Amino acid sequence: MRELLTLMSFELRETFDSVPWTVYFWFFFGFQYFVYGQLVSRLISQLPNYYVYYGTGLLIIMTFNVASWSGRRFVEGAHEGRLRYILSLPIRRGELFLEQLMVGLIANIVRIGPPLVFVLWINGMSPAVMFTSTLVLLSMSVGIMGIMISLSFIAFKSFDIYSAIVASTSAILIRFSTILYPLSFMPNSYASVARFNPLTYGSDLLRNVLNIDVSQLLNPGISVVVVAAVGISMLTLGMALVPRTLEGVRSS
Amino acid sequence: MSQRSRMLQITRVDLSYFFRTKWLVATLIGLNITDMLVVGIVYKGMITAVNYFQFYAPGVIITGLFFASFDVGRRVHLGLTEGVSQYYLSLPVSLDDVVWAHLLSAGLGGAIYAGILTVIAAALIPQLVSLSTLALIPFMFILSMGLAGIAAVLNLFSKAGDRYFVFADGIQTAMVSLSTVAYPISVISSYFPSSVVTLIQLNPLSQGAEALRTVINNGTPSSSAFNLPTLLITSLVLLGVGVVSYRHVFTKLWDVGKLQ
Repeated sequence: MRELLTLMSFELRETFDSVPWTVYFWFFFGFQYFVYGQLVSRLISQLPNYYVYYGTGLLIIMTFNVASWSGRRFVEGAHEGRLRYILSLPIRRGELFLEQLMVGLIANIVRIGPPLVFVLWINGMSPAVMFTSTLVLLSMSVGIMGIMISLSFIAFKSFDIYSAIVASTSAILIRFSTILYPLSFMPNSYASVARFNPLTYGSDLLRNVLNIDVSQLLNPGISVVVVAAVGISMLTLGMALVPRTLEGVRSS
Repeated sequence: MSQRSRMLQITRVDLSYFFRTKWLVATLIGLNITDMLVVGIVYKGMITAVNYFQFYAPGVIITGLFFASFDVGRRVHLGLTEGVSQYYLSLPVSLDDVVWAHLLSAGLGGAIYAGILTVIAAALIPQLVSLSTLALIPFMFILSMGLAGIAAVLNLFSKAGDRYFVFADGIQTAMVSLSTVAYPISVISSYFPSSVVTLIQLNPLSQGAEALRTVINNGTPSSSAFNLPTLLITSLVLLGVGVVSYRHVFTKLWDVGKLQ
Protein backbone atom coordinates (compact mmCIF):
# COMPACT_ATOMS: atom_id res chain seq x y z
CA MET A 1 0.00 0.00 0.00
CA ARG A 2 2.84 2.39 0.90
CA GLU A 3 4.50 1.69 -2.47
CA LEU A 4 1.23 2.42 -4.22
CA LEU A 5 0.87 5.78 -2.45
CA THR A 6 4.49 6.75 -3.10
CA LEU A 7 4.19 6.00 -6.80
CA MET A 8 0.85 7.80 -6.92
CA SER A 9 2.23 10.98 -5.35
CA PHE A 10 5.16 10.87 -7.81
CA GLU A 11 2.83 10.51 -10.80
CA LEU A 12 0.44 13.18 -9.51
CA ARG A 13 3.28 15.68 -9.20
CA GLU A 14 4.24 14.89 -12.77
CA THR A 15 0.64 15.08 -14.00
CA PHE A 16 0.02 18.51 -12.50
CA ASP A 17 3.36 19.83 -13.67
CA SER A 18 1.58 20.04 -17.00
CA VAL A 19 -0.69 22.95 -16.03
CA PRO A 20 -1.51 23.85 -19.68
CA TRP A 21 -3.56 20.67 -20.19
CA THR A 22 -5.69 21.37 -17.12
CA VAL A 23 -6.23 24.94 -18.32
CA TYR A 24 -7.03 23.60 -21.80
CA PHE A 25 -9.79 21.38 -20.40
CA TRP A 26 -11.39 24.42 -18.73
CA PHE A 27 -10.92 26.46 -21.91
CA PHE A 28 -12.58 23.67 -23.91
CA PHE A 29 -15.46 23.62 -21.45
CA GLY A 30 -15.86 27.43 -21.63
CA PHE A 31 -16.05 27.48 -25.42
CA GLN A 32 -18.33 24.49 -25.69
CA TYR A 33 -20.67 25.68 -22.94
CA PHE A 34 -20.84 29.41 -23.60
CA VAL A 35 -20.48 29.44 -27.38
CA TYR A 36 -21.40 26.11 -28.99
CA GLY A 37 -24.04 25.16 -26.40
CA GLN A 38 -25.68 28.60 -26.42
CA LEU A 39 -25.83 28.81 -30.20
CA VAL A 40 -26.98 25.24 -30.87
CA SER A 41 -29.65 25.47 -28.19
CA ARG A 42 -31.04 28.55 -29.99
CA LEU A 43 -31.37 26.44 -33.14
CA ILE A 44 -33.02 23.45 -31.49
CA SER A 45 -36.73 24.04 -31.38
CA GLN A 46 -38.05 20.55 -30.70
CA LEU A 47 -36.51 20.09 -27.24
CA PRO A 48 -37.29 22.78 -24.66
CA ASN A 49 -34.32 23.94 -22.59
CA TYR A 50 -31.74 22.10 -24.66
CA TYR A 51 -29.02 24.24 -23.09
CA VAL A 52 -29.30 22.43 -19.73
CA TYR A 53 -29.47 19.08 -21.54
CA TYR A 54 -26.33 19.98 -23.49
CA GLY A 55 -24.51 21.19 -20.36
CA THR A 56 -24.86 17.79 -18.69
CA GLY A 57 -23.83 16.04 -21.92
CA LEU A 58 -20.75 18.24 -22.05
CA LEU A 59 -19.77 17.13 -18.55
CA ILE A 60 -19.98 13.50 -19.70
CA ILE A 61 -17.88 14.30 -22.78
CA MET A 62 -15.27 15.97 -20.57
CA THR A 63 -15.27 12.99 -18.20
CA PHE A 64 -14.77 10.76 -21.22
CA ASN A 65 -11.93 12.95 -22.56
CA VAL A 66 -10.09 13.08 -19.23
CA ALA A 67 -10.53 9.33 -18.72
CA SER A 68 -9.23 8.66 -22.25
CA TRP A 69 -6.32 10.98 -21.54
CA SER A 70 -5.43 8.82 -18.51
CA GLY A 71 -5.32 5.68 -20.63
CA ARG A 72 -3.29 7.44 -23.29
CA ARG A 73 -0.86 8.73 -20.69
CA PHE A 74 -0.28 5.18 -19.47
CA VAL A 75 0.46 4.04 -23.00
CA GLU A 76 2.72 7.01 -23.79
CA GLY A 77 4.60 6.32 -20.57
CA ALA A 78 5.21 2.80 -21.85
CA HIS A 79 6.50 4.09 -25.18
CA GLU A 80 8.79 6.60 -23.51
CA GLY A 81 10.38 3.88 -21.41
CA ARG A 82 8.88 4.98 -18.07
CA LEU A 83 6.89 1.77 -17.74
CA ARG A 84 10.09 -0.31 -17.71
CA TYR A 85 11.32 1.71 -14.78
CA ILE A 86 7.99 1.42 -12.94
CA LEU A 87 7.94 -2.35 -13.55
CA SER A 88 11.32 -2.59 -11.86
CA LEU A 89 9.83 -1.13 -8.65
CA PRO A 90 8.65 -3.45 -5.85
CA ILE A 91 4.94 -3.01 -6.64
CA ARG A 92 2.46 -5.63 -7.72
CA ARG A 93 1.02 -5.31 -11.25
CA GLY A 94 -2.54 -5.23 -9.96
CA GLU A 95 -1.60 -2.41 -7.60
CA LEU A 96 0.00 -0.61 -10.53
CA PHE A 97 -3.31 -0.77 -12.40
CA LEU A 98 -5.12 0.57 -9.33
CA GLU A 99 -2.55 3.34 -8.98
CA GLN A 100 -3.07 4.39 -12.61
CA LEU A 101 -6.80 4.39 -12.03
CA MET A 102 -6.51 6.55 -8.90
CA VAL A 103 -4.20 9.06 -10.61
CA GLY A 104 -6.77 9.27 -13.40
CA LEU A 105 -9.61 9.79 -10.93
CA ILE A 106 -7.80 12.61 -9.13
CA ALA A 107 -6.94 14.25 -12.47
CA ASN A 108 -10.60 13.88 -13.37
CA ILE A 109 -11.76 15.56 -10.16
CA VAL A 110 -9.39 18.50 -10.68
CA ARG A 111 -10.27 18.94 -14.33
CA ILE A 112 -14.01 18.27 -14.21
CA GLY A 113 -14.68 19.61 -10.71
CA PRO A 114 -14.75 23.35 -11.47
CA PRO A 115 -16.94 23.02 -14.60
CA LEU A 116 -19.26 20.61 -12.75
CA VAL A 117 -19.68 22.92 -9.76
CA PHE A 118 -20.22 25.85 -12.14
CA VAL A 119 -22.93 24.11 -14.21
CA LEU A 120 -24.73 22.87 -11.10
CA TRP A 121 -24.41 26.23 -9.33
CA ILE A 122 -25.91 28.26 -12.18
CA ASN A 123 -28.76 25.76 -12.41
CA GLY A 124 -29.43 26.19 -8.68
CA MET A 125 -28.58 22.64 -7.58
CA SER A 126 -28.09 21.72 -3.93
CA PRO A 127 -24.81 20.38 -2.45
CA ALA A 128 -26.44 16.94 -2.15
CA VAL A 129 -27.12 16.92 -5.89
CA MET A 130 -23.54 18.09 -6.52
CA PHE A 131 -22.24 15.20 -4.43
CA THR A 132 -24.42 12.59 -6.17
CA SER A 133 -23.52 13.98 -9.63
CA THR A 134 -19.83 13.79 -8.78
CA LEU A 135 -20.30 10.15 -7.73
CA VAL A 136 -22.04 9.33 -11.02
CA LEU A 137 -19.27 10.99 -13.06
CA LEU A 138 -16.53 9.28 -11.08
CA SER A 139 -18.20 5.88 -11.46
CA MET A 140 -18.33 6.47 -15.20
CA SER A 141 -14.67 7.51 -15.16
CA VAL A 142 -13.69 4.19 -13.59
CA GLY A 143 -15.45 2.29 -16.37
CA ILE A 144 -13.98 4.43 -19.18
CA MET A 145 -10.46 4.43 -17.74
CA GLY A 146 -10.69 0.69 -17.21
CA ILE A 147 -11.54 0.24 -20.91
CA MET A 148 -8.75 2.58 -22.06
CA ILE A 149 -6.05 1.09 -19.82
CA SER A 150 -7.15 -2.46 -20.65
CA LEU A 151 -6.86 -1.61 -24.35
CA SER A 152 -3.26 -0.55 -23.77
CA PHE A 153 -2.02 -4.05 -24.65
CA ILE A 154 -2.86 -3.20 -28.27
CA ALA A 155 -0.54 -0.19 -28.04
CA PHE A 156 2.35 -2.47 -27.14
CA LYS A 157 1.93 -4.02 -30.61
CA SER A 158 1.19 -0.79 -32.49
CA PHE A 159 0.59 2.70 -31.12
CA ASP A 160 -1.15 3.76 -34.35
CA ILE A 161 -3.67 0.95 -34.12
CA TYR A 162 -4.28 1.81 -30.45
CA SER A 163 -4.88 5.48 -31.34
CA ALA A 164 -7.21 4.46 -34.15
CA ILE A 165 -9.19 2.05 -31.95
CA VAL A 166 -9.47 4.56 -29.11
CA ALA A 167 -10.57 7.33 -31.50
CA SER A 168 -13.19 5.15 -33.17
CA THR A 169 -14.42 3.74 -29.85
CA SER A 170 -14.79 7.32 -28.57
CA ALA A 171 -16.62 8.42 -31.72
CA ILE A 172 -19.05 5.52 -31.59
CA LEU A 173 -19.65 5.71 -27.83
CA ILE A 174 -20.26 9.47 -27.80
CA ARG A 175 -22.34 9.78 -30.96
CA PHE A 176 -24.47 6.66 -30.46
CA SER A 177 -25.56 7.67 -26.96
CA THR A 178 -27.88 10.14 -25.28
CA ILE A 179 -25.00 12.51 -24.46
CA LEU A 180 -26.08 15.07 -27.07
CA TYR A 181 -29.65 14.06 -27.88
CA PRO A 182 -32.41 11.97 -26.25
CA LEU A 183 -33.32 8.51 -27.54
CA SER A 184 -36.71 9.80 -28.69
CA PHE A 185 -35.07 11.94 -31.40
CA MET A 186 -32.82 9.22 -32.79
CA PRO A 187 -33.81 7.11 -35.78
CA ASN A 188 -34.74 3.61 -34.61
CA SER A 189 -31.55 2.04 -35.96
CA TYR A 190 -29.40 4.50 -33.97
CA ALA A 191 -31.56 4.23 -30.85
CA SER A 192 -31.22 0.46 -30.77
CA VAL A 193 -27.41 0.78 -30.84
CA ALA A 194 -27.53 3.51 -28.17
CA ARG A 195 -29.47 1.20 -25.82
CA PHE A 196 -26.40 -1.06 -25.66
CA ASN A 197 -24.08 1.85 -24.89
CA PRO A 198 -23.14 2.34 -21.20
CA LEU A 199 -22.71 6.09 -21.78
CA THR A 200 -26.44 6.29 -22.56
CA TYR A 201 -27.19 4.96 -19.08
CA GLY A 202 -24.58 7.22 -17.46
CA SER A 203 -25.92 10.33 -19.21
CA ASP A 204 -29.52 9.54 -18.35
CA LEU A 205 -28.56 8.72 -14.76
CA LEU A 206 -26.84 12.11 -14.41
CA ARG A 207 -29.91 13.85 -15.83
CA ASN A 208 -32.14 11.90 -13.45
CA VAL A 209 -29.98 13.04 -10.52
CA LEU A 210 -30.22 16.63 -11.76
CA ASN A 211 -33.97 16.17 -12.26
CA ILE A 212 -33.84 17.33 -15.88
CA ASP A 213 -37.24 16.79 -17.38
CA VAL A 214 -36.75 14.96 -20.65
CA SER A 215 -39.21 12.42 -21.94
CA GLN A 216 -37.96 8.86 -22.20
CA LEU A 217 -35.04 9.07 -19.81
CA LEU A 218 -34.06 5.50 -19.09
CA ASN A 219 -35.07 3.94 -15.80
CA PRO A 220 -32.67 5.25 -13.12
CA GLY A 221 -32.56 1.87 -11.35
CA ILE A 222 -31.39 0.12 -14.51
CA SER A 223 -28.94 2.99 -15.17
CA VAL A 224 -27.37 2.59 -11.70
CA VAL A 225 -26.96 -1.15 -12.28
CA VAL A 226 -25.39 -0.64 -15.74
CA VAL A 227 -22.97 2.11 -14.59
CA ALA A 228 -21.91 0.07 -11.55
CA ALA A 229 -21.63 -3.15 -13.55
CA VAL A 230 -19.44 -1.51 -16.22
CA GLY A 231 -17.23 0.07 -13.55
CA ILE A 232 -16.79 -3.19 -11.61
CA SER A 233 -16.29 -5.38 -14.68
CA MET A 234 -13.72 -3.00 -16.20
CA LEU A 235 -11.93 -2.83 -12.88
CA THR A 236 -11.82 -6.64 -12.70
CA LEU A 237 -10.83 -6.97 -16.35
CA GLY A 238 -8.03 -4.43 -15.94
CA MET A 239 -6.76 -6.12 -12.77
CA ALA A 240 -6.70 -9.44 -14.60
CA LEU A 241 -5.47 -8.24 -18.00
CA VAL A 242 -2.89 -5.57 -17.19
CA PRO A 243 -0.55 -7.78 -15.10
CA ARG A 244 -0.47 -10.37 -17.93
CA THR A 245 0.11 -7.87 -20.73
CA LEU A 246 2.71 -5.82 -18.92
CA GLU A 247 5.16 -8.66 -18.35
CA GLY A 248 7.92 -8.74 -20.90
CA VAL A 249 6.54 -5.71 -22.69
CA ARG A 250 8.76 -4.51 -25.52
CA SER A 251 7.55 -1.10 -26.56
CA SER A 252 9.62 1.67 -27.94
CA MET B 1 18.03 17.54 -59.42
CA SER B 2 16.89 21.16 -59.41
CA GLN B 3 16.07 23.14 -56.28
CA ARG B 4 12.36 23.03 -57.25
CA SER B 5 12.28 19.25 -57.58
CA ARG B 6 14.06 18.86 -54.23
CA MET B 7 11.42 21.07 -52.65
CA LEU B 8 8.69 18.93 -54.20
CA GLN B 9 10.47 15.86 -52.88
CA ILE B 10 10.28 17.27 -49.33
CA THR B 11 6.62 18.11 -49.94
CA ARG B 12 5.97 14.53 -51.01
CA VAL B 13 7.76 13.09 -47.97
CA ASP B 14 5.94 15.43 -45.59
CA LEU B 15 2.57 14.67 -47.16
CA SER B 16 3.24 10.96 -47.04
CA TYR B 17 3.68 11.20 -43.25
CA PHE B 18 0.06 12.25 -42.97
CA PHE B 19 -1.37 9.58 -45.28
CA ARG B 20 1.13 6.87 -44.31
CA THR B 21 -0.76 5.86 -41.19
CA LYS B 22 -3.73 4.40 -43.04
CA TRP B 23 -5.46 3.25 -39.83
CA LEU B 24 -5.39 6.76 -38.46
CA VAL B 25 -6.57 8.45 -41.65
CA ALA B 26 -9.38 5.91 -41.97
CA THR B 27 -10.37 6.60 -38.36
CA LEU B 28 -10.31 10.37 -38.86
CA ILE B 29 -12.49 10.04 -41.94
CA GLY B 30 -14.75 7.71 -39.96
CA LEU B 31 -15.08 10.37 -37.23
CA ASN B 32 -16.11 12.98 -39.79
CA ILE B 33 -18.57 10.60 -41.42
CA THR B 34 -20.21 9.77 -38.08
CA ASP B 35 -20.43 13.51 -37.44
CA MET B 36 -22.31 13.95 -40.69
CA LEU B 37 -24.42 10.81 -40.60
CA VAL B 38 -25.22 10.64 -36.90
CA VAL B 39 -25.04 14.14 -35.39
CA GLY B 40 -26.24 15.78 -38.63
CA ILE B 41 -29.20 13.45 -39.05
CA VAL B 42 -30.31 13.44 -35.39
CA TYR B 43 -30.04 17.23 -35.10
CA LYS B 44 -32.02 17.51 -38.34
CA GLY B 45 -34.97 16.03 -36.46
CA MET B 46 -34.56 18.53 -33.64
CA ILE B 47 -34.09 21.66 -35.77
CA THR B 48 -36.83 23.06 -37.97
CA ALA B 49 -35.26 26.37 -39.12
CA VAL B 50 -32.89 24.75 -41.64
CA ASN B 51 -32.26 21.37 -43.24
CA TYR B 52 -29.55 20.72 -40.69
CA PHE B 53 -28.00 17.74 -42.44
CA GLN B 54 -27.37 19.77 -45.61
CA PHE B 55 -26.25 22.69 -43.49
CA TYR B 56 -23.86 20.70 -41.33
CA ALA B 57 -22.20 18.47 -43.97
CA PRO B 58 -20.20 21.39 -45.53
CA GLY B 59 -19.17 22.39 -42.00
CA VAL B 60 -17.83 18.89 -41.36
CA ILE B 61 -15.93 18.92 -44.68
CA ILE B 62 -14.27 22.23 -43.82
CA THR B 63 -13.49 21.10 -40.28
CA GLY B 64 -11.83 18.01 -41.78
CA LEU B 65 -9.81 20.24 -44.12
CA PHE B 66 -8.78 22.38 -41.16
CA PHE B 67 -7.60 19.44 -39.07
CA ALA B 68 -5.74 17.87 -42.01
CA SER B 69 -3.99 21.11 -42.92
CA PHE B 70 -3.22 21.87 -39.28
CA ASP B 71 -1.49 18.51 -38.96
CA VAL B 72 1.51 20.00 -40.77
CA GLY B 73 2.16 22.02 -37.60
CA ARG B 74 2.39 18.80 -35.60
CA ARG B 75 4.73 17.28 -38.16
CA VAL B 76 6.96 20.36 -38.15
CA HIS B 77 6.94 20.43 -34.34
CA LEU B 78 8.00 16.78 -34.20
CA GLY B 79 10.51 17.44 -36.97
CA LEU B 80 12.02 20.27 -34.96
CA THR B 81 12.27 18.23 -31.78
CA GLU B 82 13.40 14.98 -33.42
CA GLY B 83 15.98 16.46 -35.80
CA VAL B 84 14.14 15.92 -39.10
CA SER B 85 14.04 19.69 -39.78
CA GLN B 86 17.77 19.94 -39.10
CA TYR B 87 18.25 17.22 -41.72
CA TYR B 88 16.11 19.12 -44.26
CA LEU B 89 18.20 22.23 -43.67
CA SER B 90 21.37 20.26 -44.36
CA LEU B 91 20.11 19.35 -47.86
CA PRO B 92 21.01 21.51 -50.85
CA VAL B 93 17.71 23.41 -50.72
CA SER B 94 17.09 26.97 -49.68
CA LEU B 95 15.39 27.82 -46.41
CA ASP B 96 12.45 29.24 -48.38
CA ASP B 97 12.06 25.96 -50.21
CA VAL B 98 11.75 24.09 -46.90
CA VAL B 99 9.11 26.60 -45.78
CA TRP B 100 7.11 26.30 -49.01
CA ALA B 101 7.46 22.51 -49.03
CA HIS B 102 5.66 22.29 -45.68
CA LEU B 103 2.96 24.79 -46.65
CA LEU B 104 2.38 23.08 -49.99
CA SER B 105 2.08 19.75 -48.23
CA ALA B 106 -0.50 21.28 -45.87
CA GLY B 107 -2.44 22.67 -48.83
CA LEU B 108 -2.45 19.33 -50.61
CA GLY B 109 -3.23 17.35 -47.44
CA GLY B 110 -6.23 19.55 -46.59
CA ALA B 111 -7.55 19.59 -50.17
CA ILE B 112 -7.22 15.80 -50.60
CA TYR B 113 -8.85 15.12 -47.21
CA ALA B 114 -11.70 17.56 -47.93
CA GLY B 115 -12.04 16.01 -51.39
CA ILE B 116 -12.55 12.54 -49.87
CA LEU B 117 -15.20 13.91 -47.48
CA THR B 118 -16.91 15.82 -50.29
CA VAL B 119 -17.18 12.65 -52.41
CA ILE B 120 -18.77 10.84 -49.44
CA ALA B 121 -21.15 13.74 -48.73
CA ALA B 122 -22.06 13.94 -52.44
CA ALA B 123 -23.54 10.45 -52.18
CA LEU B 124 -26.22 11.94 -49.91
CA ILE B 125 -26.32 15.53 -51.18
CA PRO B 126 -26.54 15.30 -55.00
CA GLN B 127 -26.15 19.08 -55.44
CA LEU B 128 -22.48 18.63 -54.53
CA VAL B 129 -21.97 16.69 -57.78
CA SER B 130 -21.37 19.77 -59.90
CA LEU B 131 -18.72 21.74 -61.74
CA SER B 132 -18.95 24.42 -59.03
CA THR B 133 -17.59 21.90 -56.50
CA LEU B 134 -14.64 21.20 -58.81
CA ALA B 135 -14.13 24.94 -59.27
CA LEU B 136 -13.84 25.29 -55.49
CA ILE B 137 -10.87 22.89 -55.25
CA PRO B 138 -8.19 25.57 -55.93
CA PHE B 139 -9.84 27.77 -53.28
CA MET B 140 -9.83 24.88 -50.81
CA PHE B 141 -6.15 24.33 -51.56
CA ILE B 142 -5.31 27.97 -50.81
CA LEU B 143 -7.59 27.94 -47.75
CA SER B 144 -5.76 24.86 -46.49
CA MET B 145 -2.37 26.52 -46.99
CA GLY B 146 -3.67 29.61 -45.18
CA LEU B 147 -4.90 27.57 -42.21
CA ALA B 148 -1.48 25.94 -42.01
CA GLY B 149 -0.16 29.47 -41.49
CA ILE B 150 -1.87 29.50 -38.08
CA ALA B 151 -0.07 26.28 -37.16
CA ALA B 152 3.17 28.00 -38.21
CA VAL B 153 2.50 30.80 -35.71
CA LEU B 154 2.04 28.16 -32.99
CA ASN B 155 5.37 26.59 -33.95
CA LEU B 156 6.90 30.02 -33.55
CA PHE B 157 5.77 30.29 -29.93
CA SER B 158 6.02 26.65 -28.84
CA LYS B 159 9.16 25.28 -27.40
CA ALA B 160 9.89 21.61 -26.85
CA GLY B 161 7.29 19.72 -24.83
CA ASP B 162 3.53 19.57 -24.77
CA ARG B 163 2.84 23.25 -25.29
CA TYR B 164 2.36 23.03 -29.07
CA PHE B 165 -0.36 20.40 -28.68
CA VAL B 166 -2.21 22.42 -26.02
CA PHE B 167 -2.08 25.56 -28.19
CA ALA B 168 -3.15 23.63 -31.28
CA ASP B 169 -6.15 22.03 -29.55
CA GLY B 170 -7.13 25.40 -28.05
CA ILE B 171 -6.96 27.20 -31.41
CA GLN B 172 -8.90 24.45 -33.13
CA THR B 173 -11.63 24.56 -30.48
CA ALA B 174 -11.86 28.37 -30.67
CA MET B 175 -11.83 28.60 -34.46
CA VAL B 176 -14.45 25.92 -35.00
CA SER B 177 -16.72 27.32 -32.24
CA LEU B 178 -16.40 30.88 -33.57
CA SER B 179 -17.39 30.05 -37.13
CA THR B 180 -20.52 29.17 -39.10
CA VAL B 181 -19.48 25.51 -39.30
CA ALA B 182 -22.28 24.35 -36.98
CA TYR B 183 -24.77 27.24 -36.84
CA PRO B 184 -26.05 29.90 -39.25
CA ILE B 185 -24.93 33.51 -39.05
CA SER B 186 -28.48 34.60 -38.10
CA VAL B 187 -28.24 32.63 -34.85
CA ILE B 188 -24.73 33.94 -34.20
CA SER B 189 -25.97 37.53 -34.71
CA SER B 190 -28.61 37.02 -32.02
CA TYR B 191 -25.95 36.13 -29.43
CA PHE B 192 -22.76 38.05 -30.19
CA PRO B 193 -22.17 41.79 -30.64
CA SER B 194 -21.68 42.96 -34.24
CA SER B 195 -17.89 43.25 -33.94
CA VAL B 196 -17.60 39.55 -33.00
CA VAL B 197 -20.08 38.62 -35.76
CA THR B 198 -17.82 40.39 -38.29
CA LEU B 199 -14.83 38.41 -37.04
CA ILE B 200 -16.80 35.17 -37.30
CA GLN B 201 -17.76 36.07 -40.87
CA LEU B 202 -14.10 36.69 -41.70
CA ASN B 203 -13.06 33.36 -40.15
CA PRO B 204 -11.75 31.31 -43.09
CA LEU B 205 -13.68 28.27 -41.80
CA SER B 206 -16.94 30.23 -42.13
CA GLN B 207 -15.93 31.32 -45.62
CA GLY B 208 -15.11 27.77 -46.69
CA ALA B 209 -18.31 26.29 -45.24
CA GLU B 210 -20.46 29.01 -46.83
CA ALA B 211 -18.77 28.43 -50.21
CA LEU B 212 -19.80 24.76 -50.13
CA ARG B 213 -23.31 25.67 -48.92
CA THR B 214 -23.64 28.05 -51.86
CA VAL B 215 -22.86 25.12 -54.18
CA ILE B 216 -25.59 23.10 -52.43
CA ASN B 217 -27.97 26.07 -52.90
CA ASN B 218 -27.24 25.86 -56.65
CA GLY B 219 -25.20 29.03 -56.66
CA THR B 220 -27.46 31.20 -54.51
CA PRO B 221 -25.27 32.65 -51.71
CA SER B 222 -26.12 30.71 -48.56
CA SER B 223 -25.77 33.79 -46.35
CA SER B 224 -24.27 37.24 -46.12
CA ALA B 225 -21.15 35.55 -44.70
CA PHE B 226 -20.24 34.12 -48.13
CA ASN B 227 -17.76 36.07 -50.22
CA LEU B 228 -15.21 34.29 -52.42
CA PRO B 229 -12.76 37.24 -52.61
CA THR B 230 -12.81 37.44 -48.81
CA LEU B 231 -12.05 33.70 -48.62
CA LEU B 232 -9.10 34.24 -50.93
CA ILE B 233 -7.81 37.36 -49.15
CA THR B 234 -8.04 35.94 -45.60
CA SER B 235 -6.38 32.71 -46.75
CA LEU B 236 -3.56 34.58 -48.49
CA VAL B 237 -3.02 36.83 -45.46
CA LEU B 238 -2.74 33.76 -43.21
CA LEU B 239 -0.45 32.11 -45.74
CA GLY B 240 1.78 35.19 -45.64
CA VAL B 241 1.84 34.99 -41.85
CA GLY B 242 2.73 31.30 -42.15
CA VAL B 243 5.63 31.99 -44.53
CA VAL B 244 7.04 34.67 -42.22
CA SER B 245 6.61 32.45 -39.13
CA TYR B 246 8.23 29.36 -40.64
CA ARG B 247 11.07 31.48 -42.09
CA HIS B 248 11.69 32.77 -38.57
CA VAL B 249 11.48 29.26 -37.03
CA PHE B 250 13.86 27.71 -39.57
CA THR B 251 16.27 30.69 -39.53
CA LYS B 252 16.49 30.32 -35.76
CA LEU B 253 17.01 26.59 -36.12
CA TRP B 254 19.68 27.25 -38.76
CA ASP B 255 21.47 29.65 -36.40
CA VAL B 256 21.07 27.80 -33.10
CA GLY B 257 20.78 24.22 -34.30
CA LYS B 258 17.94 23.19 -32.00
CA LEU B 259 14.51 24.19 -30.74
CA GLN B 260 14.92 26.38 -27.68
